[in-house]
Amino acid sequence: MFEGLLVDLVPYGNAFQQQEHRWLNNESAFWGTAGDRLIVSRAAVERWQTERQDDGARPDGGSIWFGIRSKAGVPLGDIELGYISPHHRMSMIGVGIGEPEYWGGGYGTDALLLIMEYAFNWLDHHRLWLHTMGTNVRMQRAATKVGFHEEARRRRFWLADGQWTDDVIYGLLRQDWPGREALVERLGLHPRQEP
Amino acid sequence: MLEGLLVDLVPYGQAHQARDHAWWNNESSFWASMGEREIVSRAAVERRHREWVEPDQPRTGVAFGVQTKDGTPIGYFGVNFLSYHHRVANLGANISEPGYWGSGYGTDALLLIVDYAFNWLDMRRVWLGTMSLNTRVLRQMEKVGFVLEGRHRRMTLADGQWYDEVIFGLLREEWPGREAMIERLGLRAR
Repeated sequence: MFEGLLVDLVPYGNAFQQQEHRWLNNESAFWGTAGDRLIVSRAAVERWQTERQDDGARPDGGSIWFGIRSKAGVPLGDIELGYISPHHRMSMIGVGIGEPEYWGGGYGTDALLLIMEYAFNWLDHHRLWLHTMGTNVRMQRAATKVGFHEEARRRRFWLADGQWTDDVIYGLLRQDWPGREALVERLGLHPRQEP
Repeated sequence: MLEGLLVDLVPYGQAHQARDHAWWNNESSFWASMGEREIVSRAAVERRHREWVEPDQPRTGVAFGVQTKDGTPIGYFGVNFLSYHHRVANLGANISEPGYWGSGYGTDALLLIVDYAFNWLDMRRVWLGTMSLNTRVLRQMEKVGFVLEGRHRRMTLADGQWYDEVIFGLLREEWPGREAMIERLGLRAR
């Protein structure tokens, strides 16, 4: 478990899997993907979860999943390192807060700082990256806040809600990472009353 | 079969598979990947082919072999990560015989596959990435009209150094068509 100020990162287990059917069918999936509007059955969700477990067992790394849990113990969403390359020492961060009433309150930012610290200090990563669609201003603000640089803008990449939107890619090198403590201080992150 | 001036794109099959062990172990796989230096056994190459023929997941791409006009296999090209929903695809290219580098064979194949992606697969956008060390591809991108869309800093470890990955994209409305490009580049059969 990695302990933050607003959330903890815990192994992605049953408590989170049970929420996925709801999370994937609500608005959070639209933002967590690049504008996909998922309508998924429980059976489909269970199938994905089995595949994901198999992927995590791959010898070349695959991906590492965490559940994001609020300090009060509420499962909020998931955050993961994907496309892990042990050779190039990098991976992609994916994140979703499945409970909309927790949006904009720093919960996702706190989770990001925890997983970044894990990637640099425990996995010895050299670089992290993530991408989101051009209309996802909240994600772009969060990425910039924690130190990511916009590195690429793939024009008109995604079809989301009837509009073509860019794919925006962010990267962060280890040498530009001041450490979690420094960022917590810089951002003035502190515990708060939950919704 | 897609017929070009210097090469044809044919279904990726036996003739190309037979060359693959030599191709994976030569310099071409370094340039076509992000600087990987592959040392692979015949058994590993055959295993990859089996996985390619019987993938776990539905395939989201199209694989072509590249052959010269006299039928010599010289590499392979592919449409990858194809999304029918977003109508976007990635292009992969590998002229695996170094003797054919720098003479327009790859460019001819690229014009064919871009045309195929837009006119047959109805893609709206194609894109590709290469490492910043690969000046041959950077030059080719400029020639063919791809737009530089981004630079991932120090993305890949190649031959002891960190290099950027450079991303290029081309929208359908920016594509003048294969005929116009052939004329602009002065490409001709030889």
